[in-house]
Formats: sequence, C-alpha cells, structure tokens
Amino acid sequence: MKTMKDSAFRSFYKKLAIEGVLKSVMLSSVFSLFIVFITSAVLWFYNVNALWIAIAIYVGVTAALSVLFYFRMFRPTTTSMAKRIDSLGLEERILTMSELENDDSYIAMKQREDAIGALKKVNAKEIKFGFRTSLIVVLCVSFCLSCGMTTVNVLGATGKIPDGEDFINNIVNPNERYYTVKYIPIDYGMYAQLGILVETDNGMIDGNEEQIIAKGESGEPVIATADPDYMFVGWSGTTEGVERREIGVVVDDSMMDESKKVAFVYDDSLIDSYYYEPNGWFIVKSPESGEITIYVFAFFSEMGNGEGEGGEGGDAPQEEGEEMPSEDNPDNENQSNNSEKEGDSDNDKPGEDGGGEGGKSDNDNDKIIDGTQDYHERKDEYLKEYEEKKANGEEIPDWLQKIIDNYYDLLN
Amino acid sequence: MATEENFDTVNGKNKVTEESVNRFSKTCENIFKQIRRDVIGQNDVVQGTIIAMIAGGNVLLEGVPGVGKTRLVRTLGRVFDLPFSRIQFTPDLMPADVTGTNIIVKDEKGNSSFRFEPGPIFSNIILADEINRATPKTQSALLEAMQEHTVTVMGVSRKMKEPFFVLATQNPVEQDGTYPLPEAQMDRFMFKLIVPNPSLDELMDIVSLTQKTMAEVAEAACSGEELLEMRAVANSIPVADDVLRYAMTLCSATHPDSECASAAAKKYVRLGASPRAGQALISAAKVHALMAGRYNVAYSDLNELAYPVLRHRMKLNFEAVAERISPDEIVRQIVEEVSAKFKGGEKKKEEIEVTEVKKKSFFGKK
Repeated sequence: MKTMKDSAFRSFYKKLAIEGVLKSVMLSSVFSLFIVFITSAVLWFYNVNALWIAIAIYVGVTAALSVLFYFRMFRPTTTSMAKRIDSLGLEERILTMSELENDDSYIAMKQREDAIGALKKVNAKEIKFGFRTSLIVVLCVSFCLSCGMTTVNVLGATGKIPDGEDFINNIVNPNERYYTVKYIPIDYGMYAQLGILVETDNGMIDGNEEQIIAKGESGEPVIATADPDYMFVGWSGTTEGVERREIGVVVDDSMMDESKKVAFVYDDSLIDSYYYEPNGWFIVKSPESGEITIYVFAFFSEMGNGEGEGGEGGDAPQEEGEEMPSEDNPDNENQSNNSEKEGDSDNDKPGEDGGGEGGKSDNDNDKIIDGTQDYHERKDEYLKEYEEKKANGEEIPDWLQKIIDNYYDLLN
Repeated sequence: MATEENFDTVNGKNKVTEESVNRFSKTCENIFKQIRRDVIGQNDVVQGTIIAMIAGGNVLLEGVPGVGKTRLVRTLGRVFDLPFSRIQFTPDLMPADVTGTNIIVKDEKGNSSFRFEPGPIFSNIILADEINRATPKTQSALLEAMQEHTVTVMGVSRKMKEPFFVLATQNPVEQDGTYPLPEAQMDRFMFKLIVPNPSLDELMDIVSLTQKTMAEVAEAACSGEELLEMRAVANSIPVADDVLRYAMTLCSATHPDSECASAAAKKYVRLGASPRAGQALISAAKVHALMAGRYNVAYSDLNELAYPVLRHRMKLNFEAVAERISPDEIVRQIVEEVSAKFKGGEKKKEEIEVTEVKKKSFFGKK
C-alpha cells in the first residue's frame, strides 16, 4: 500500500519541490536584494562603483540562502503535500491517509483505499504554484529598490549625479540648491573713472532682472537696453552682445576662494563678495541663511562722453583685463589705478570716434540693422513713423518694416 | 495524528468490519427511503435528524405550526422500530408527569410500599412536543435524561434504555405563555434544526398525498441494535489533527473573549458554545462523512454542520438583537472567518514545517 501511495505521490512531490525551490529563491532574493541595496547605498557615499559588487552579492547570498530556506522551510513534507493535494477537492482524504499511515484497522484501510482512489482522479498538473502575494510584492519592491540604488550608485560613481554626501548636503542645505541671479545696470563712467559701481538709470535690463535658478539649471535670457544718448558697453564677464543668459548655474568652492574675495563694492552687501572672473559673477553668500546671490553687471555709458574714448572698440570691459576687479586688484587703490588707465581701454569701448559716425557705438548690438546709425538715436523716430503709417493705413516700406522687425526680434 | 481514540468500539471491541460498513450504507438508504414515504421534502431536516440520532444526540426542531415537525418525529419512531413516547408539553405539566413517580401500592399481605411508576420518558424515542410551553421546572426534568441517559426519582437513579433520544419541537411564533428553554437545556440538544415551509412543489405533493390518506405508512428500517452498530461504525471514522483543530477553532471562535474569537462573536455574542458543541460537531461530522461515502471527516462536513450545532448554543447580545442579526448569520460569519484564518495559518504552518515527518516517509528523504 505504501508503495502504491508513494508512486501516486511522486509526481506531486516533483511539482511541489519545484515550487519549494522557487519560493526559496524568491525569499532569499528578498534578503540578498536588501543587502545589495544597503551595500549600494553605503558605497554611493564613498563614491565607489558597486555594480559588480552588487551582482556578486546577489548571486552569492541568493545561492546560499536558497539552499538554507529550501531545506529548512520549503521542502515538501508528506503533510504539506497531502494538504496541497486535498486542495484539489479531495476533502482531506490524503491528509487523513498520511496520518493513518501506520494504522492497520479496517476503517483505516478503507480510508486509504478511498484516498488512493481519489488521488488517481487528479494529477500534478492541476496543482498551481502558490506564491504568497506578500512575498511577490516584497520581492518586487526589493528588486526595484536595489536596482534603483545600484543605478544611483553607478551614476554617482561615474559623476553623472551627485554622490551620497552631496545629495545629503543638498537636502540638509536646501538653499544651496537655488541661486538668485540679479542683473544690475551700472554707470560705466563712474566705474571707469572712480572704480566704483553705481547703479544707473540710463540703461535697463529687459527681461527678468532677478531670477531664482535651480542648481545646474539655466536662467532666462535678458537684454541690456540703453536709454537714448546712452549705449551699452558690456557685461561683467565674457558674454558678448546685449543678450545674456546664465547657463548651468553652479557655484562651487573654487569660485568662493578667499583669495578671490574683493572689497570692490557695489553696495554694502557685496563687501564680502567673491568675484568669479569667467562669468563675471559677483557671488554673495549670506552667512545666516547660506543663500547665494549672483550679481551680474551691465555697463552703460553716455554717448559722446567718450572724448578721447574713441577708437577701436573692444568687447566687454573686463576683457581689457583691467577695468573689472579681480584677485589681482581687489582694493580701491588698484581700482583707482585702473581708472587712470582707462583712458586707453575705454577709448576702445563705448566712446566711439567722438564724432565721426555721430557717436555711433562699435558694439553691433547697439546699432540698427543698417549698421550706421545708433539704435537709440533713431528708435523712437522709427517707431513713431511706423505707428503713423500704420494708423494712416499707409504701406510700410520694406526698410522700415525690417528695422521694426529687428527691433522686436532683438527684444525677444 | 489520528489516535486510537478515533476508533470507537462496541463493548470494548473493535467491531467495525466490511460487513458493518456496508450495512451502514444500506440501512441509511432504507431509513431515508421509508421516511420519504411519509414526509415530503424537508430533506435537510430529515438528514439532520438522522445524523443526530446515529451520532446519539438530541434534536430540537423549530418551525411554525403545520410544517410536519411532529409527523417527522412520529415517522422516525416507526422507522427506527423503537418504543416511542410522545409528551405534549403544557404549562401545567409536572416533572413527575415526565419522569414518573413512586406510588403507594399494597401487597398481598396488605402492607403499603412505594413502587416506581415510570413516566413516558422511559422509552427510546421521546417526542417532546412544544417543549417551550412547559415550565422551566418541567423542562429541567429532561436534563438528566438527555445528557446522562438516567432518571433519578426519590434518590434512585434508573438507566434509560439505549438508544435514547429526545426529539423536541417548538414554535418560534406565539411566544405568549411560553418559557424559553434555558441554556443548559439548549446545550443538551445536539442539533437545532429549523423546519422551513415547504416549497410549492412539495406543498402540492403533500396535499396530493394527504388527500388520499392520512395514514402513515413508513415501515421499520432499523432496529435499536442496528442503530448502535451504525453509531460504532461512524465513531470509528478517523479525524485528522488539522481537521479536529479546525472544528475546535470553530467552537472557540463563538466565544467573544477567547483567544481565537471571531469578529462576529466579539460584536454579537454574549456567551459562546460549550465544549459539548465540539463533541457534537465531531460526532455528527463523522456520520455525515460516512453517509457521504467518505471514511474521513472533511472541513466541508464541519462547515455544513456548524449551523445546526452552533446556532442554539450562542447567547446573543443586545447589539445582535437590535440589528436583527440571526444566529445563522453569525455562524456564517464565523465559518467564513475561521476558514480563511485557519487556511492561512495552515499555509504558514506548511511552509515552516520542519522535516519531522520526512524522516518517516520516502518523500521526506528524497
């Protein structure tokens, strides 16, 4: 009878053993993935690429735990098999039979016969693998977490994202994640002659003058627009043209070097500012809140103010290497020296030729598209003429339309 | 593990043979056949009553007047070929009217002496008709007989003839002038069966049958000895440990303060089922399994029998009454909850089961 029962059980045992192995692997995977998650997270802070370590841990731990779990928990027993087989509708016949295995009474014998008869009516294929939903959910969550953490680790180690330490710092010091960028129009004459930064009303920043920009993000473009009789000289920094946009804004420690600190003041708040030469940024970090503000200056100068300033125009003033503050000339003394030298440098800039073209700027951005007339001189005239013609229903000449179009393109 | 206790014996010897098992099936078949000659429909009630009688339990039949309760009991009395007594319970019925009493008699010499005059209870099948109409004092006269199968009068205990059953009926309506059965009395009924109104087809058959004749034609199909043998065979049916645990969990779950109390019990039950419920459930389940042609008790047997076994053993609280929750609804909730919980626990147990059993079997060693 036992042989008969055993042979009937064999196919079920095979199926349930496979299920046991799968359960063991799944459960051990949960543990190994958890370890992978922890390892990847720790190594992320140490900036170590944990890809291969994670794979090795997963394989090793899963293999070891699978064996353990199978033999300790999931290996099918006679009772567990009996219960699973009974779940096919055998009404506890197999379970009872397994308990009466050694009973020789007539009723036990009849029960065995009945159970084996019922057992023959079912087959192992009817048993479906039964995995607990909770195990599957936990496994999926573990898988996602560990894969995610390993990916973060690898990206961190390859420098594509911040490592763990930076990440935590960003969370702990959220102010470092955003920068305020302020664009300020500055009187170039004052700066050139006295070495001081004075805000001017003779030019304006067309666009968002004060922008809050996330770390690594780019700001909105702005346009420096001079008033009539004034011209735009240039930006602090290397940007050419009237349009300027801060791209990929990141302030790092190299910009905050003590040696770059300038006493060159625009106002009191800039007294502890750092001047970052490549971008022309004046960076101020609030000692209280840690908030970082970047100042960008747009220099404006009066046209015709350049007696002796005419000559070949350079680009931005800082390119002259002297008129803007740097670590080499952080004090006022140097600034006054610089201002003395400006006779040369400024001649190249806004002053034009002091007459020639009617004080036209060499800066392309300050010219109307025909390249001969200063933008500020004629802008209002052209606009007025354009509006009159429009109002009268007259045809707009091509040359005028082109000027107006360019004007608006420039603004946009 | 099923133990030797699961193999009941008759007179100390295991008398379960192939013949007795076959006889069980045939007798059961005959009993049903004969009952159906007089009782139309009410299959569940008939089956429940027979299960209780084979298992040795008393039955309380509850139903509105005219649904065939009394007729069923009378038919059973004839089918089982056993002495049958009918006691019509009324408010003025006294305990001595049930149990019997000592009367003074004079012998040939003229001396007076007491002689015990047995009451109607001294029979094998007792029909206690409208049991709730008698006073609690009279109702209590049945307590000893129902449980210990003895009757004590004037300090003398007398044993009842075996098999002994009390089949009581009561009417769920017309409660004026009735005395609800006390808990102790209720607990002594293995089953409380609700006798429903017959269906339309059954009603037509009943009317057709009774128009021809009111005579009851069922014949004896089982003697007292055969009934005892059937009981012995049923008692030998094994119950797996898990199944036994499930049955006991069902009973314990009716107690609001037990460790495995069900949510329904906590909410609606004031007093749960007694240990007698567990005994009754297992005994009845064995008979039920054997009648189904199985040699083991299954969860399905217990789930089915939980209703007649538990419905009258729970004392409901005010909340249940206020919400008009019936005992059957509570039993249904308990069965559902315990079934889900038990099978969940079963799976858990299955997974963490250590390999003790494996050592004993081929499968464990593989």
